[in-house]
Amino acid sequence: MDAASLVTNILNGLITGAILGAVASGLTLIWGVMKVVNLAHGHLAVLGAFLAVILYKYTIGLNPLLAPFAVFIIGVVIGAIFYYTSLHIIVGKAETMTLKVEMNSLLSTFGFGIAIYGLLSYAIGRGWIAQYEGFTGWALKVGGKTYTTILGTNIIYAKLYAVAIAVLLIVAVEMFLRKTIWGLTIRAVAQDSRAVALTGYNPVTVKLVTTLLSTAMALMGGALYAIFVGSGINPDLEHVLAPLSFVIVVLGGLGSVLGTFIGGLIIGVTNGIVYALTGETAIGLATSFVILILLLLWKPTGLFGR
Amino acid sequence: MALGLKEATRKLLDPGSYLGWALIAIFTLVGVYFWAGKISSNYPSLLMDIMMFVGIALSLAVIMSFAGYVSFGHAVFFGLGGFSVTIVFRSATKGGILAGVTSNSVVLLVLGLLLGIALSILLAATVGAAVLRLRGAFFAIATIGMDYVILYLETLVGEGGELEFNPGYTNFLEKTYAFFLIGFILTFLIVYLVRVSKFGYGLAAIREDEDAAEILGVDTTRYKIYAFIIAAALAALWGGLFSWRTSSVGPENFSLKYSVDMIVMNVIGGLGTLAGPIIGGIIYYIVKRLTLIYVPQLAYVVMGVIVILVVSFFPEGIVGIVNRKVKKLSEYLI
Repeated sequence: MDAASLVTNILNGLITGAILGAVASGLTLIWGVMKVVNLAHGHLAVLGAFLAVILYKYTIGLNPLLAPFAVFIIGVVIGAIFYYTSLHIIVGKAETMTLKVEMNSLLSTFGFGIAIYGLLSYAIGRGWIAQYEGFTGWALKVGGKTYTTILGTNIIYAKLYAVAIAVLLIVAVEMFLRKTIWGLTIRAVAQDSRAVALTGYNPVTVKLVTTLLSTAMALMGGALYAIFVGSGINPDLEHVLAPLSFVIVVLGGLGSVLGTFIGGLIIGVTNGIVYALTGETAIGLATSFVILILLLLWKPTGLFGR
Repeated sequence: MALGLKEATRKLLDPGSYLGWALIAIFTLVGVYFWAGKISSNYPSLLMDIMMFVGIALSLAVIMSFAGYVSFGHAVFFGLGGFSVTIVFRSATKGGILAGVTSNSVVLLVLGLLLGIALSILLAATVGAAVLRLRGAFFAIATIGMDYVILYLETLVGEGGELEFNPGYTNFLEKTYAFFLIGFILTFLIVYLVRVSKFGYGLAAIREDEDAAEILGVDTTRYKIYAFIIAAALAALWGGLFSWRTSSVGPENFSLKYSVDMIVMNVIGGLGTLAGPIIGGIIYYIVKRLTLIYVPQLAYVVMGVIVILVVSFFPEGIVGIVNRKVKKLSEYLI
């Protein structure tokens, strides 16, 4: 392998990593704050990707550049459905997350996830939407060109745009968590939900808001992923997005949005380098999971966790 | 830890084992008619499905239901079992290392099953043992990771991981039914004896409060690893039998959907019990079969809704509810 292709793979890895970081960032919030390991996260992201395509192709012809924002807003609504169907009864009133509650939430989010998977497959089976299609035929052009050249690597503008929005999302959420009173409350619930109740905030409401935000971020991450890959959106993407999200969240540290983003970059670059060395995507993915298991065993708090 | 032979024989006649014996009796009876050529292969096929579903549910029950460690990656052992059987059969064809040694499909199947069980025990005793240090969700995620590592490595073999073999088709269904029946009896006996032994009570103690169990003298680390090994070996057995039945293996065999099947059956049936995975397995199979017939494209949606409803409103499962309402039955539904 020569130096130029290594640079190319690292650059592509950084871009992929930024998108994956954005996809995973919603998970770190719900996991870190509510201690709910959301197994529906990957499915929600895939749903976001499909919604972006649906908005563009099958309904109002929304410009893909605006899709992430529209999908974020739809995500809030879906988050409410998610919370009231799968989480409220199990974790809404739970003051502390016992192992039993944790397991039940794991299973119920899992049930919600496969229901989404089933609905998407159904819609595809009935021919309402097409898979492997994405934004085929659409390209972001600047000055008549669809790509720019950075360090000898051709990079599509649409991917750069997705990365820019991903960074924007991370910064916005990080600011929200640090500067606004709601953000502070959410972070406080992660530390001591009873103390938050004493200050007059209803922990149940905080859990609801956290779920809404986390879900909206998952869907928006999926929409960014749709712009990033351009085509090839299908329900089974979940099998890549969900496990990678877990790897990234654990790597970045639970509850740390910024950490998740950096974790995403690390995983992206690792996959890029492994791919450059072996020529097999599968080995790159397998490496990520080996990293996950080792991390869980040796430093489950991650790089930026408390 | 282990039961004495005499004690084990006595336990096998306890009321708690009646459900399993009843099923075995039914399966054997249908088998006898089938082997005698008196009935078509429809019912035996159906019963083989049920045997496998209950079998994999029982395999996961040892670690999930008895010890409280929810393994989302249990499909890895199911896949490894199938992979081993496939590899053994393929190596017996021209140019393989077993070529010319034997071509007897029964011998090859047994060899494949043993290889699968050995590989699974190896994985469970090494990676599994390390992963068992984690609790709750972290354990679940680590097992998912373990499953994906093996799944992705498997895709490097053959064409995207898809491998087929020729199991020899003389009296294929008759042989398959016999093997499934033997597999079911073995699975039931092993899981039943785990449930009623001191080992099983130790696992229950771990499930309820691991720290307290440790303080009270339960060797938690060793118990967990043994439970995981037993669960892995049984899953590998069924994975191998399943691959033999389909004459193939692929990344699909490692798919999380098998983990899901196992988990859902246990949840529906009721955690912490032996009857749970058996009853849950049968009911789940019937529901799945019906949804696949009537609303095939919505099968996943139905499954997801059932999981949410059960976890939200009936977290104790069918057996838990029945035992609470009808006290007399709790002697039989242990």
